[in-house]
Amino acid sequence: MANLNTMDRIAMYLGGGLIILAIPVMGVIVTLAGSMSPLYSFTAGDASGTVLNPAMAPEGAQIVSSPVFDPILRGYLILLGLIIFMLLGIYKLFSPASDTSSTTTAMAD
Amino acid sequence: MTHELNTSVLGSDVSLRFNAPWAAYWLAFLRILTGWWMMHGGLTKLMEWPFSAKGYMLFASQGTVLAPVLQLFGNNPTLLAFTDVMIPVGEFLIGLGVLLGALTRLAAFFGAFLMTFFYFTNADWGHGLFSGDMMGLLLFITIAIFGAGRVFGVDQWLEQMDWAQSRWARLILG
Repeated sequence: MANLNTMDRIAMYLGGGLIILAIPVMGVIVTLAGSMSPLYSFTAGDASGTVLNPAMAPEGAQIVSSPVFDPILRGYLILLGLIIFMLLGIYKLFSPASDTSSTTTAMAD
Repeated sequence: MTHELNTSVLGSDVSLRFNAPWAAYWLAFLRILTGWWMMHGGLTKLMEWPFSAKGYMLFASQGTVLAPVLQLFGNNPTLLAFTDVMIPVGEFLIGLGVLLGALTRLAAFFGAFLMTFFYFTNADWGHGLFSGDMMGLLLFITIAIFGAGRVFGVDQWLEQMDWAQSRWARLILG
């Protein structure tokens, strides 16, 4: 990765890292901890469902399963990762183009 | 480093410029997230064992393009029992293979195969025919085409072995 600058590295490690952390890493932990859904599961009489926040469950509903990591928190981590990627994109728009390049010729059909 | 790939597609000369480190990084990133997505589907089914696809195969997929195939499997006890095992185990192994980059092309092939069934039998087409299932299908095909397991994947290591130099090994690794 000799031709990556500091901004590229920050985006790769931090931006990508946050998204990997929030989706597969926390996902494994949440699932192995016994939550089949990343959301809060509730029952209300004969009905059942999932919600992002316990406060969003219907009145009188009982929360039967809570994930180890709050889904809103995971959402913020993903959003932060995407913002970092987006900032890198904006930075690249206004930064001088790299002058290192190589050419490969590939045969096809 | 920017690479320029000059090739010919469908009779037209094309020149594709891309940033090689970012392309490699993104393939690994895409592979890990896609692998976890499929592995999660299998893992949760395995943790809530036993799994039964009967209701889905016989009723939920009614009227869809591949419903006759699902009806055939759903109405035969042996084929249904096979399906009940292969869906969770298959999803888990496909996801694990893609996540770790191990036998990546083989795993991605079966991922695309499974997604083809999901695309037609879920028929989640309320917002158009380009559904989430189609996106999953395209992700697996992309991973297989680029051999994304060669970036931070187990295949990067496997491909250095003698047995992996054969043509058939190249078809399942990558």
